[in-house]
Amino acid sequence: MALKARRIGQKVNESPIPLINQAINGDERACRQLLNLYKGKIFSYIFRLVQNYHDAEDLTYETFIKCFNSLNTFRQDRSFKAWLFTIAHNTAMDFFRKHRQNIEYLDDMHSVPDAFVEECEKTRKFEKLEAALARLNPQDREIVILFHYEEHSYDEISRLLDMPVSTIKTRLHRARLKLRDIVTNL
Amino acid sequence: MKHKYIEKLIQRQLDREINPEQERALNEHIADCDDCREFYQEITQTCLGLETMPDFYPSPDFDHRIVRYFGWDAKSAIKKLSAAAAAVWLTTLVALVVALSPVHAVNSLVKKAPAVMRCLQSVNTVFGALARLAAPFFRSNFDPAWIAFAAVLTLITAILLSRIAKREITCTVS
Repeated sequence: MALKARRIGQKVNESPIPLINQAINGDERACRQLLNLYKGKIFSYIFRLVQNYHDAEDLTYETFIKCFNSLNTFRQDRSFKAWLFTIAHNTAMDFFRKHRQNIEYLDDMHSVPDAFVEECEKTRKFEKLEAALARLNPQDREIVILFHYEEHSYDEISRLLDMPVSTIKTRLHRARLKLRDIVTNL
Repeated sequence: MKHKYIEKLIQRQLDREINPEQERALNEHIADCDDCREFYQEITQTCLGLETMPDFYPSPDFDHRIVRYFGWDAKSAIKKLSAAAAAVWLTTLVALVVALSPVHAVNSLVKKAPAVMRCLQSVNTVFGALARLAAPFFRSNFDPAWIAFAAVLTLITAILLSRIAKREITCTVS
């Protein structure tokens, strides 16, 4: 956990409220800073859900457009990160609904930009884990990512996915066992 | 039965919900039981791996797409152009005031600032040459160098304003 906190760095842990207020008042620099702070998190989350680089980029784009357009509706007593992930989740779910017939194309990894391939090469040690994650069903995968990778609490995930905490726990426990089986047998 | 209970404790630990007593029981058991220890190590390594997975980033063009959508590039260009146009316009105003003022009044004003004097003289020299070219077509009682300077600055202001208008249109359309 400490390792993760170090990796994310101080910036994401700082409250984004001053930045949000500046962005609401039309400060473009604040908008760009928010974009830089969260684009990696949102893109990684969506990419791991849809398993396709170009779709992930389009959905991340759509998420940020929705975010900046409705920034004044964000309630500041709640977590901005959770709010942003709710938008990303809903955007991804709309995408899944639209592409329900072509679900097999979700595993299509063709025509990925070279820079991204290089990035994946650097992270080869996570290859097994990424492959195992891709074998989970999308809903379990999303719960695993939100809990372990994004470190959301059960309550936050429950609100985000509109699902009871008990169901999330059951799914997460099952997914962990499945992941462990896949990783050890790969 | 015991192993099933230990598996539950491991899940509770991974859920960050285990209490100290349960943690002690878990540690004692995995110290003695090879199967549970192996299971514990495999599942905790997997979860640790999930926590330390790297972030991925969209292509470098991604930011530009967002910037273009909201017209931030056009807005920031408009700000810069507006500042430049305002500065040029103010200079034009100063040039016109100097041109319309009697020479001795200007001289007495800038006498105390030789640097300003030198600056005004060089502008006068450069634009005096330009004014001489227009002399056959233009007759005035005022210093023609300053009128030429003001005319050039007005032209620059007009160009800047037209560029601002163009950016405004792009911004509104996007």
